[in-house]
Amino acid sequence: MVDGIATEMAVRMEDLLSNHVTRLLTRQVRYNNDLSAVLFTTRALEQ
Amino acid sequence: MKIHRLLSWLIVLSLSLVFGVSAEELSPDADEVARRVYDRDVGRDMHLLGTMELISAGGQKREREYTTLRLDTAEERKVKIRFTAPADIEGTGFLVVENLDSAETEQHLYLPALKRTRRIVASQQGRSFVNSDFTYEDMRRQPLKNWTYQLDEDTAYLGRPCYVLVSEPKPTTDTQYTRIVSQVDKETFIALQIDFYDQ
Repeated sequence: MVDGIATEMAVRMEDLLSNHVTRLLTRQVRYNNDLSAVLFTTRALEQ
Repeated sequence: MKIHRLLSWLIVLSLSLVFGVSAEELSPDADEVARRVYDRDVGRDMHLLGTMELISAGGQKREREYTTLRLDTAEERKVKIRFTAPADIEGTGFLVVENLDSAETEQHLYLPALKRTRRIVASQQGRSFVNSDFTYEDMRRQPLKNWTYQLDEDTAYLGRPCYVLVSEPKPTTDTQYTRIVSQVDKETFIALQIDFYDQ
């Protein structure tokens, strides 16, 4: 649990045809940070 | 044919199941399991630092660093991923905006080398996301109403009791998958293993 929330710490996606694998490893995670909506625009994506 | 398998590991330190609930409440139907996976508590927002590893069939590994931000409001879920290393992908950004009322989802990819953002359209949903084993379709939530659900016999994954949720797309659903089988942790409603089929 992180901040009281069950959290995926590692995700493994495997292509069973090519045997290629992608792993996502969580190094640090925080919840309920009061993030601003302005971070989630296409303009913010380009900055 | 089974084409993809997704596995998740959790940190679960202490989750109490001592709620005094009835047996009926402990045995949700398939639609309820799907809804609880979709609606599980993930907080108002999230800030995550992660590593993406790309591992070839020969075992060669490449690493990328990224930051993920998520914001949930009453109307939308927004997710932004920004790659921060190595140099060949640094600055690449990905934005997902999911409208909860209309169930419409927009995806935008920013490529710093081109200095432009392009929208990912429906015909690109089966393509690889930044050369990983995830497709653009995998990077979004499918609306519950687009699928039908059944439960197979319960199982266990890494010793944790799981529901086995079988999801099939409705005829009008635009997806690359014909069936998705998820082993859903009964305590957290996180899918610990998901098998994606395309035939």
